[in-house]
Amino acid sequence: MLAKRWPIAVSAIVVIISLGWLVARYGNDSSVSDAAEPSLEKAAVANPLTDPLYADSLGEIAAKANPENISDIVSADRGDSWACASCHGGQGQGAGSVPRLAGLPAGYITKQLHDYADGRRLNDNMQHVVSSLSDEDMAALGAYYSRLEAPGDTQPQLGGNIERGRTLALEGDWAIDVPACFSCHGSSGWGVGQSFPSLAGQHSSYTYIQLANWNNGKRNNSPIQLMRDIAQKLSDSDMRSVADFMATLSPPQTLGITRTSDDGSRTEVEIP
Amino acid sequence: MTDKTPYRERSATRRLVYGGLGAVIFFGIGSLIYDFGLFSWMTGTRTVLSESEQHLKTATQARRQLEEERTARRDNPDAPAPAQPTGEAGYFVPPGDEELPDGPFGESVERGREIFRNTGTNAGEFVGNDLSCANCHLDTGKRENSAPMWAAAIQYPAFRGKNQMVNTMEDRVNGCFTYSMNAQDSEHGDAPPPGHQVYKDLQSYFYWLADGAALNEDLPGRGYPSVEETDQGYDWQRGQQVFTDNCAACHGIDGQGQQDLNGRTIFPPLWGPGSYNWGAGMHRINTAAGFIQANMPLGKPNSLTDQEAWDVAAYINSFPRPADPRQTDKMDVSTADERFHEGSINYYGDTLHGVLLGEGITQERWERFLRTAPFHEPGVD
Repeated sequence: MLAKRWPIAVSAIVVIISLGWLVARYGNDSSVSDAAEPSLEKAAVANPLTDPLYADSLGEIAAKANPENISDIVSADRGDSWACASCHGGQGQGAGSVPRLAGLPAGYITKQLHDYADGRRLNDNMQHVVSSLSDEDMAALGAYYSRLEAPGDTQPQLGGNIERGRTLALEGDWAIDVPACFSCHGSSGWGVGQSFPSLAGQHSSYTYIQLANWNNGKRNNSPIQLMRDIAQKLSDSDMRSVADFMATLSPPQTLGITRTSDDGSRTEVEIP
Repeated sequence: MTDKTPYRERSATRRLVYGGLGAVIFFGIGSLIYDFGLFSWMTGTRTVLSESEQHLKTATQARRQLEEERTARRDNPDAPAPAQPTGEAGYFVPPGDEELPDGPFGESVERGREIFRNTGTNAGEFVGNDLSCANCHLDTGKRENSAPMWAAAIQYPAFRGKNQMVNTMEDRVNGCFTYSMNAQDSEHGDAPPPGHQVYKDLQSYFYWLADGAALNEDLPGRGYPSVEETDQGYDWQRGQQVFTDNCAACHGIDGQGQQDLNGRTIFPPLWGPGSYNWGAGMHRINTAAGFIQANMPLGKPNSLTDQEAWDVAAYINSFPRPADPRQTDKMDVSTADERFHEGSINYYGDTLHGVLLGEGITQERWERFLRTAPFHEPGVD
């Protein structure tokens, strides 16, 4: 009897493995592998009184931080942790699904580091890396990367509709209650204040994955849940389109420090 | 049948191999169908439209139908009058860019749209603060329940109680410059003079947006919705918490808004010298509550309760802002209150935060106010 039935058992196992493979391959829109549950409890615990302005207060701290002390963290592997630059690049330029950090607001970067540390933003690699950072390190890293300069090198890579992306960025799609990206992220997508990071010149894979994570609840840490509400109204092709459009733009000029011209000369950049 | 022969043993192995091979082949075909999105093609079902695509489809059809009905009527005077183009959510559908006419009128429409979108840049000499038309009329004046221009354009000329006379659209726009954009502090010192090109371009834009709407029709989505009065009434002190939780991330804890690296105002100031003055419609707490509930925070319309909308509108309008330009040098605030602010819901003429509201802003007064303001900078205790 057993001999007769073992093919059935084997087939059943094959079917289960195949289904598992299918879910792994197609079950998640994004290509990120950290499969942690959305941290809804954490969001509820976060203090609603201070949360909308968290990046602003961290920005003030970062403005006083000394980026000199963190060069080891940026560029040298430490024990069981690794250097920022090993993934984000020597100029903070990022690549693929690793974000460009150069020129992002100091308060925004610092807040993300705190959010990883406190479980409000989930990513296995980042949560591991920040576990050894002090508050001072985080503020200094925010200050460092906000002032760093990196050329724009991004290309649209997701096959999105660039024109649709442009419309979403400049006009929004009010039929689905989506305002223009630039109505909060600045008139050229270069960011506003400490809470609204630049989008222009960001890698399309990164932007897309963040939108997808907000859409499916995996990322949950934007002020007053603004990005969750917006991403949940976007279709998958809209997310690809807008991520691709952002990658066609130039990243922000750095904030008030030197920039290198093509001929190698360095000039002070005046920010009004 | 309980008897097993060697042949049957071999057969089981072979069946398993064949079965396995078949499964692999079917699995491969299935993967390919999924990867190339052929399932809907095979079953003959159409791809489901996203919500956005469904809205766009309905809107496009509505505009096309208007065009067809107009053509039919040109050919046959007995054909019925064209219906107003209506979208998925029941609101009027203004024309899209593809309907923008060539020639001087189309150019005027486009200029008007740019003035509307970015007033400080494109009509800067008449703007005395950091606001643009599109700050209060969202989606460049196309958004329903955000005082859309397609609804306003078909309502004027009309008599208005505010100034006791018949107002044309030019008069209304003049009022926007005078009060909402505080033209008294602009380079020109006043709203654009009568007949100025700014009016022509803006009116061209409004008229074009209203293409297909019937004159004097009370279109759904017109103006700002009214928020029902609550049992508790409105209270700026309750509104402070609503503001911190919902508004401060963009407009700042001090309500002074934020600019981007280009120096462009991205989040407009809600009070103080860079905001609308005491003559603007938005200083009325009920008007502001309606706008806020239907439109704010951006991307989260109708997320505030009636009570929260009233309270936060009261909070925003409890602070100093530029004087009502109708209050001339010889007129004190209480007289202006009686003449211009009677019967409207506002704090004009009240003394709040140690300031007589309505007396206007001088540098000295503003600095004095900031020292005692009930909000404080983030991170500073």
